[in-house]
Amino acid sequence: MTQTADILIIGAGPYGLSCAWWTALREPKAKIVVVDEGDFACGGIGRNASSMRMQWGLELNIKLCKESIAFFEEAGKRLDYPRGIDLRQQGYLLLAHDESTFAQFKANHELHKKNDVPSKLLTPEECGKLVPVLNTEGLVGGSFCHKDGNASPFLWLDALLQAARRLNVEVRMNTRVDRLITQGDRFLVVTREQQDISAAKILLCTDWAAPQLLQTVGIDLPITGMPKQGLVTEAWPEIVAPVVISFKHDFAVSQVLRGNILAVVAQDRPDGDDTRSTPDYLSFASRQILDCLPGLAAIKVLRTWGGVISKTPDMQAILGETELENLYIAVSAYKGFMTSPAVGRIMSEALFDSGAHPEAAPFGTERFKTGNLIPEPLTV
Amino acid sequence: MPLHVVIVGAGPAGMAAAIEARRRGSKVTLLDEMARSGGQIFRQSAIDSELRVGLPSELKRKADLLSGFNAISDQIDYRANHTAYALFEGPELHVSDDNCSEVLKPDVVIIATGVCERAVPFPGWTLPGVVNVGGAQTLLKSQGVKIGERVVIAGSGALPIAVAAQLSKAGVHVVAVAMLYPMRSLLVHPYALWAGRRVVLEGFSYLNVLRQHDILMLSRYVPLRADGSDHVESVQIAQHDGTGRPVPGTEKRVGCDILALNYGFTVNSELAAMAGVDMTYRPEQGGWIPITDQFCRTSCSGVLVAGDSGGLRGAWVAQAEGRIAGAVASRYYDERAVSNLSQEMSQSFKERSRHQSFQKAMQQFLQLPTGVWGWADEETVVCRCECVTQKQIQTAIDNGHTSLNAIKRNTRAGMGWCGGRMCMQNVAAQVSVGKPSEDLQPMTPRPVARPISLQAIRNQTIP
Repeated sequence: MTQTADILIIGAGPYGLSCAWWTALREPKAKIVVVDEGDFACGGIGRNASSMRMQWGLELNIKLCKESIAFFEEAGKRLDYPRGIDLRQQGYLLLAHDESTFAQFKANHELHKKNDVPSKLLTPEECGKLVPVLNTEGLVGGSFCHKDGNASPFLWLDALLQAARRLNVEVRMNTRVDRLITQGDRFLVVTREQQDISAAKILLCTDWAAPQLLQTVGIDLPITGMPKQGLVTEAWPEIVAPVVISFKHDFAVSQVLRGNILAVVAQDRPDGDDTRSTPDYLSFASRQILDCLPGLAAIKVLRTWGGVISKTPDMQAILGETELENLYIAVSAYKGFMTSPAVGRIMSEALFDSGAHPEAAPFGTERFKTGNLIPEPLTV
Repeated sequence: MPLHVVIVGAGPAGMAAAIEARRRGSKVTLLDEMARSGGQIFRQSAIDSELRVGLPSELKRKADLLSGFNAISDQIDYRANHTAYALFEGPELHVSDDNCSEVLKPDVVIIATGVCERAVPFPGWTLPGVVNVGGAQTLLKSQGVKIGERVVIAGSGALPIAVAAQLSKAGVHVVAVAMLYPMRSLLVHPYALWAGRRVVLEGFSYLNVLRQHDILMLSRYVPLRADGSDHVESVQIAQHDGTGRPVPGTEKRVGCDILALNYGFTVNSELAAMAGVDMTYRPEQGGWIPITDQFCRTSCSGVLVAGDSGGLRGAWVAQAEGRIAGAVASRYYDERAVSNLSQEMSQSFKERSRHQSFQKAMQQFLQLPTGVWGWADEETVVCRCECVTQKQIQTAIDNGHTSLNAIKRNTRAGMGWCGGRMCMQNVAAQVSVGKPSEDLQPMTPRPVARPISLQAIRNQTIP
């Protein structure tokens, strides 16, 4: 049995569901179907540090995140999710342990002023005041923005899922797409469960896994996956108010509203999709965390996890139509949670606009051919 | 070269394994979370004068095993107060005390981590004063503390009866014991009764204690609700219809200051799951249990499982199986020597299978009928760590989230301190209503098996 859809979105993560919700809002008559090979939050959304920031070093990212954070602030109302998404805006503290990183903070700060991002440059002492458990030794300075923070990725995804379903979006979990086939001006989407779908437009939101399906229609885009692991501690009274990023230690540490501390510490791993826990992760992560935040020593780790982030050559999102007409793509490049509100809006417009969407255009796939990459100067 | 065997857990299985592996010349490391060896059933008192509430036969078995263990404990690397928090292929075992951690890379790991208790949620079960019967027993055995003045016990299987008798002997007023099934249903398994006659005799002795203390024994009774303002003050119980559903009109209210529950067990199988051992779902044996062969070997090279952590089997089996596992571990990489063990240790193999047939018959008491899942109302908390109610879990199921991983992410059930040991079987039961539970996949097993501080992980001793 073949089902038909005007728009088929593959991937029910934050990109897929945000795109579905915005599209349903914009085109109430369109038949929108979302499929996902797994169950609720089985991808990167269920495995991230839950943080969001607008203090980036690239205007494009600043704009995406400013719009998104404004949306997160009213997510409960906008998505009719009275429970709310546990948004906690206690700011984001970026730490520089060397002069060149701090020089980048200064350059970013100028950009922030231009874009109304309320960031401040901090001395090591000011950083220590903000986060008393911080080791300020060797610290050159910090950058702080009080509008940044974190929220629950699970609640966010649940809010999107329920809101999308209320707008008659059909969301099918445990449906794995094996292949895309072009059929005239439509696509035939072959699923492992043999519930094929005929779709006029497809939006691919499978993040790092996108190449698997792109290959079936002969498209090659430079998207890879990289394993990342994280840990979560027991709940604790507030001890790390802002989200803390240390470029020296390659981590993001984020205390959520419930009190648990989430830490994603980067460890050198080859690209790929190996989500297994590595035996040396915990000792490595605890050394990195406690070198920077020694005051967390007594807190107990409850659980670890492993996931895969998406990588592109410039670590920027890919948004827009592919070389194949009516096949669209949205890949997050490791910012899926925090940019999903804005990306959903942009893609919902791009799906129906004739010609290139002005906001999506810089994130288009052409940049990999022309070499006009848009690298973000500072990421962990 | 003697093999290095690391054993996790110093209960009957772990101690027996240590004795046997040492006897066979292995280098043995034995880790246990507690300050003293013994596990739950042979728990030693932490104070000088032990309250001897067990039966003479039981105390003798305990004394025999402990003296056997004490005789070798200075020949092995015995580490009390140590937690094994992760196991990887290799095997590679990560252990820690409060301050330090260490990575052990032995030839063989024997997991003998036992079980933890299971309760079925109902209104009021999270009130202070509602405990597991094993918790009441622990206080008595290790500290000589009587958990309360007036205790009601509700549950199924053998443990509630044993603990009721032990509490009575210690002078606690056990007001009533409400059992899910009548014990006489064992009578339909004459062979099993004969095979387990020594256990049965102990059971009768305990029942006798209850009779002597004139304790109200109620069969086919279930708890409806526990009430009290900030502590349990009374419990309402009722007869059930055979499927666990209370029969209207049979309600009784019993005053108490402690309600002790036991509706079976959850095996501590996190380490095995983490290492990638093949598992199977058997609720009456303790949830997801590692699959083992007759030599206690798992699908994972170098990883053995012995005793209750391989599926509920009782202390007698655990002790026999511990001996087998200890011997197998010592000869692990010599296939021929291992297969000869079934001859060489035929006594232990026989003893294990005899008691196992009795345990199989006992498992009927831990086969929870479907009606028990109706005890909770919408507001009843199912996941205590994260305060997730029955209604929240049902909503998640109704929204199409049917895997345990998805329900965990959607509701937070299982994300808390206990790592899902307390609630996951109950969530699984709620999910699998009307569906074969064998299809259920457990939550993705990840380090850590027990909460452990960042500093203990960081302070790694290099052996």
